Amino acid sequence: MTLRIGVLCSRIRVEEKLLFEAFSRRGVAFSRIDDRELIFELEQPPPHFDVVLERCLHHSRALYSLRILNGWGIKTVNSYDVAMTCGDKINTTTALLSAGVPSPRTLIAFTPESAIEAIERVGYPVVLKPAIGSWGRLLAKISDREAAEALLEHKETLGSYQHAIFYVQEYVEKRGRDIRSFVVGDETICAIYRESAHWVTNTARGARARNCPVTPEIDRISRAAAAAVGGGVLAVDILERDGELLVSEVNYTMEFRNSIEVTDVDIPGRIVEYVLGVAGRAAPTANRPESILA
Amino acid sequence: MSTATSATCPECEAAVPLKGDVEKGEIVPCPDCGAELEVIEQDPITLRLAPAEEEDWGE
Repeated sequence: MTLRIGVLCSRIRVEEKLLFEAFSRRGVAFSRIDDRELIFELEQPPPHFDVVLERCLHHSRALYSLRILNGWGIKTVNSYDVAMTCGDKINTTTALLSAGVPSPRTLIAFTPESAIEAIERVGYPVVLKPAIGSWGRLLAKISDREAAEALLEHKETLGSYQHAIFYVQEYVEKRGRDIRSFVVGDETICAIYRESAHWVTNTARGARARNCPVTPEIDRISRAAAAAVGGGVLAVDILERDGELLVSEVNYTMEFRNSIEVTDVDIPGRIVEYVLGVAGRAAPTANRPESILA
Repeated sequence: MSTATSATCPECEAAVPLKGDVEKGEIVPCPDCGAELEVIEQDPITLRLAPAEEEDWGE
């Protein structure tokens, strides 16, 4: 039986091209679903897909699309629940801590006044992050009270309501690098060091990727973090502190263009194999309300 | 096998070289003005200025 595979995307990055090639190399046909052209007619019978691989640029579009697709019983990589957890740092950190995964100390506050108190409880320097955001955007390392007050006032005045939800995290000295590991299903397939002289070490901000051997400790914390957020295809950001590993974030629509060559791991191929495996599994059985309404 | 082709930059009207296997939705830079351009049609290849990064973009 031919599998019906969908790839939900918008802008085609290097990653999407590599995934398309990986499907094609395996002789697997897939339908591209452009989120800019997509219309979900919620009361119509759902389209038939065995699985949809989500590769949207927009978190909001990914989130709602996955909610609708999963609601229709269509399997997705990753699931709505995983996107909901990983797309919001407050949800991520809560899920990590609930599962006992070590993470940097994090405080949440909802007003500038309580945020100042939270910041000073942690002590300077401290990091302020938007709950929703990626690629190192709008991260702030705050070194003193004057900077904190100015930043909080700007965020409250100039930002949307989401910027007045304050995610305050202890600053962990990275010594020029952090670790990103890639988890596919139950396996940590590879990891990279992201090296930068800047304290923000996203490769989207120019950090250099270098192979990081997957030690038993990195494997263990990576798989634990992936399991904590619901599992699937995930990139785990890990900080090192005096031999201790701390998970700072988990990404659910990961980019990997800089990591294939340095790790010598066929990341898109591994993702596609996982997606095909999910397609072949039985759909989760939901408690169907129509049987109650009948 | 892919064949190279080109399209016109909507910003500066320079010829933008493209690979034959370029995908709809792909972003290509204009070699003359540096604008980021999005492929919106493949036959014929048509380019437009790519949208600016938005707040919820990411991974």
